Amino acid sequence: MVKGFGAVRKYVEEKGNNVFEVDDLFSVRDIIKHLKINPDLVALVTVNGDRVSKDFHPKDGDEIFLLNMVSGG
Amino acid sequence: MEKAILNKLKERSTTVSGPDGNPLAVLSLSERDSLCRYFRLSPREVELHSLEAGIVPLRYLKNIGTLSVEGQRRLLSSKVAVVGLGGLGGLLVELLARVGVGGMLIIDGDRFAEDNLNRQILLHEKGISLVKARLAEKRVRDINSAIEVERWEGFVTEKNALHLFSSVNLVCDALDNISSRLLLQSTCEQLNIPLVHGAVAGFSGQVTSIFPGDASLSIIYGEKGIAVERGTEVEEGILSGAVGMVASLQAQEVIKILTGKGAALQRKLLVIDTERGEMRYIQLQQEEKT
Repeated sequence: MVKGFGAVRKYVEEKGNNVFEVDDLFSVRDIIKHLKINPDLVALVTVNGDRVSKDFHPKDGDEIFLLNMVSGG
Repeated sequence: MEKAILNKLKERSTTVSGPDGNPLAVLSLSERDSLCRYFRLSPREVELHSLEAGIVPLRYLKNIGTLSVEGQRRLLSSKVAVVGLGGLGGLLVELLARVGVGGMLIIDGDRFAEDNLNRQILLHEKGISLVKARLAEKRVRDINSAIEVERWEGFVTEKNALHLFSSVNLVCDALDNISSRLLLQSTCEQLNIPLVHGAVAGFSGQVTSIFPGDASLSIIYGEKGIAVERGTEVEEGILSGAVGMVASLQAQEVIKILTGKGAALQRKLLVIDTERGEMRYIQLQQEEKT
């Protein structure tokens, strides 16, 4: 399951596909691309609470959390 | 402390019921000012003498149950830089002045613009086009005359950063762009002082405290050469409540670090999205899984 935070959430929820099957070749980077999110606006990614690189390959049942890049003051 | 000062402090103080129910000696603002004139000391100096004698300036009475007299003394003897005096920084200087952080270096090279009115607490309608650092300085002095405040009407650069922060105990990152935030981090690293980071966009925001060696901003934003200079606030804008929430959390981090109370958000990013009422911590210390 993919969860988007802040401005990234709408990309996940708009497509209605925040739950989808992944195969072993599917990295976090591929998921971000699939959801049509600008990868520069994803600051951090966690999988089941652990910080991962965008090259990480999640497994079925994992919770993938995408944190938006935030820098306003 | 000179005995004469101690004697006068005792003479001019009154007794109230303290937070633990026991009698507590307090000093009113008018008596403080009278002692400033008598001994030719600054308000901050008199308040520090007072706290050292266990006499609480009345203005801080409601801090004492949480911070203790010694914690208040530590705050008053500290100097903090607030970099960026927009949404986050404007509220931070207000909160830090009220709680009694005794020295403040406030930095911003900008003037207020009309579209700042939705969230920047220092700005009122007649303040548009005024220099942010000047309004911030006035606000601090109006709130707490014991605060020794210096302002820098300019931006932090690689040339001036080390010099600017050489006399402060802690820096608050209330900036609005990523490269300047990373410059603050490297400067604090060199000066061996903590940095309290806050950032906002739309309904959401984040806070963390960075100590020398942590380099947490490099984890969040990437190293130098990052692809973007700003985040999703470009499309989302910033709501005043998100600013208030994050600046308040930053102020609490400053208080904890300076007094040694509680636990700072070190190597831990607190992210809050009020649109759904969600918050979570992201651990920043471990290597990411690949």
